[in-house]
Amino acid sequence: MRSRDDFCGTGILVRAGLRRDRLILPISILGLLGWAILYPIQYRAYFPTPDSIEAYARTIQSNPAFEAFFGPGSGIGNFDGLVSWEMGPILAIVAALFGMFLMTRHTRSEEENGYTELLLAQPVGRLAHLASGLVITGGALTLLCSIWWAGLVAAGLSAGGTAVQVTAIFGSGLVFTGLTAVAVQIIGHARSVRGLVGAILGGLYVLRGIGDLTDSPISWLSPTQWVIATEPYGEPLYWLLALPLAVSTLLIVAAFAMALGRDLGAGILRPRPGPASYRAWLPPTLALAWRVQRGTVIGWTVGLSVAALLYGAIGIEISSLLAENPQFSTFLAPAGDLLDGYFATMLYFYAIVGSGFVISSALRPASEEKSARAELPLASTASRVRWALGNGAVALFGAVLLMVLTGALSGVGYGLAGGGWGRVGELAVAGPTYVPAMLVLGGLALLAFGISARAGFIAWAYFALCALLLTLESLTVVTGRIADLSPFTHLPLTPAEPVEVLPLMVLSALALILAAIGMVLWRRRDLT
Amino acid sequence: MEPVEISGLLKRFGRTTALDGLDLEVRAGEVHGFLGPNGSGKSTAIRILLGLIRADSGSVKLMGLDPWRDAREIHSRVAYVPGEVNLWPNLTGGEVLDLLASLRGGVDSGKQKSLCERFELDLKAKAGTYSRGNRQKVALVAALSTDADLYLFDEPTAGLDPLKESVFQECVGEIRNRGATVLLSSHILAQVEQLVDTLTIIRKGKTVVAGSLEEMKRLARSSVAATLRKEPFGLEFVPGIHDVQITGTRVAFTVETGHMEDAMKWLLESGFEDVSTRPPSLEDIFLGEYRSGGRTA
Repeated sequence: MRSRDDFCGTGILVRAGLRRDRLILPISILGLLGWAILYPIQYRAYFPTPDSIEAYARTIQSNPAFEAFFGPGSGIGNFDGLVSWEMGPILAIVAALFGMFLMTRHTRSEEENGYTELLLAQPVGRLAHLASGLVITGGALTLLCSIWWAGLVAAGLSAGGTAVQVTAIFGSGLVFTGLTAVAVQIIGHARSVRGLVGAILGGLYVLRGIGDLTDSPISWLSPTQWVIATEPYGEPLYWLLALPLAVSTLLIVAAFAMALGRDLGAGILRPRPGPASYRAWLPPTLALAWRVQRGTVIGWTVGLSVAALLYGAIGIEISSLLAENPQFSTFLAPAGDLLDGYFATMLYFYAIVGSGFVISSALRPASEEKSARAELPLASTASRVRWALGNGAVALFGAVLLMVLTGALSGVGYGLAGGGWGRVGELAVAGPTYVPAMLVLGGLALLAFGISARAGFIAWAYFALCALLLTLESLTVVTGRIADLSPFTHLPLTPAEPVEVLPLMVLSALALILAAIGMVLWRRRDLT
Repeated sequence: MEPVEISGLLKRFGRTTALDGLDLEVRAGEVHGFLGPNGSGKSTAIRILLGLIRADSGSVKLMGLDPWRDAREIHSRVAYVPGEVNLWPNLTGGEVLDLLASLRGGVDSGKQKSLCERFELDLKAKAGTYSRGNRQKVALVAALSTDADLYLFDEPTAGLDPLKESVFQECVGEIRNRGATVLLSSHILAQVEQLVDTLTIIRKGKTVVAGSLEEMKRLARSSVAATLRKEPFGLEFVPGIHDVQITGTRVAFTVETGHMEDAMKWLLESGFEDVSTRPPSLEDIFLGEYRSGGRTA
């Protein structure tokens, strides 16, 4: 009964894992519920009549940027369809991230921290740890999607269509749970696992946008596409719900097969030996921060650069659309060139995504502190503030690098697609105008670190709010005071709008003040 | 102005009191042992000395400086090895050493190289693949290759094999010869006994006893075991005798300082076949202090 033995003890591990998450899991599920039901509630207020929905659907269907972000607007025939168009892909991504984080947390992170070593020395099967991670993650996803269903139906969406919708979203979460289960077998560090799976998620999202715009089948590689194509509130394609189940089953079986063959604590990919010395070409604290974060900076830069190239190339589609239908330009973008508007929206988008890097980079001191790697540098002659600001400097450098490159490469992509090279310089200059808003998030991260090594969630919560406001505000659903909560809404939308220096200065000053308060607090508190 | 002067140090973490009026003095040029059971506050005290955490009250001076306020100046003269070393998993040991050295403004690279050889450290391996002992070696090489005036070692040899442990002991000898000062917290009593001149034992955040090892040994009880020719009689009337155990004609007891002569007289009067005495070891001192619950120093 070998196979039975391999799973022995799974139940106990599940209970131990759930006990560990007894606070964080309910809180995050309730938070995600509250966020999801905002969509129907807000939209109800903004689209009271069928006429307003129809007019809005026309706007969306004629703007390729929206199609690239959220998918084709063909399903927007009624209110439910409208909400689903906006919410479906985003919830699918959230479910995927939820599955990825939970799965890593309960498998590779525990193994890396050495908890598993103690557990597996007990009479526990070789596959029990992976199985318990899958049970916990699968269970949490089921709970999340059920609660989403109940909340969305209570908020006025139809019960049947919503059931199809959340089932499709559950499928997306399950596929990425399976993918993470495979990744944790291959890679030995949780941070790298999350980087890889996140890159795959982002890459598939970009592919979906491009596939939709160019009417090519590559969008079908993306689980997000499966969610969209189900058309839950139109004529649902029920068979599509089986696709993610089949894919995730394959992935999970593969993960189990890999888990049987690998060593505890190691991935299938072994780390290779590296250089025996490091020649620092930067001042010491900067050199340390740079060396430690180098891989992350490169990963983010490559990822966003590829996206910028591809989305830049899509710009040509917009030009041709304009050529065919000159009336669009006056209807859609009375204040300027539609193409500029498209590039501005894309830069705004890269800035929000890149803020994820800025926050994690500025929070690096907190993770160093929590994993007890801060002691050695801090016991050297580097001052506390210098050490933390070394990481802050990497965040700043990364933000500028990301925005210059995404700007320039948007222009290059447009040029490669045949649109001419005139926009490269203009976009390379426009990109960095978004940096001050990113720095506000970085400053908040340093402030959170100043409060405590465990306060980083403050910055992440604010990041989630900004991302939410990007979607709501770009659709002019939210305006005024609420939209002003995000630093990004204060920026000029370059290149569609002229550069204004004042908001850039004010945001930069705000970022500096937040960081300065953080450093004062950090100087005064104990190391954990 | 001594390298370490702590008096009445108090530190609380929430409701738990980690240090409850700790006193500690380390004089220049000595190797000072810092002992205490788990959770007695040794690491907390060392972290306060480094300015990583702040004292709630009491006075702490390191080479006359305030460790919280003057952390940078102190760090340029102090080297530290933590008891649990965590390194960046994707950096090699060599990269970690170079980065740590550059944070101190550079170290003697020849010395660092020879230390790597003595400790047999593989510089090309990623730190994520290091065993606990190897991570410890990285921290040891980083600290020992500096030219510090004061070395703070917090269980520095945890996880090291006996050969590397003896290399560490040699290195401490070299530090002593150079005239620098060492504060050594360790549970390996044999190692401490070999290395230290003076020591402080703490318990529950308080100093239990402090002084020179010689003096402590002199004050501690020696053990005596003997086989008599007949049943023992009248041992209870001999002054300064404790922990008496009698099995047939075999007796074992401990003797207070200054009463060995009385014990020997009694043995001679009783008549014995065989006797052995053992001077107090550090272990006897430590266990005695630990078990007694601490007497005031």
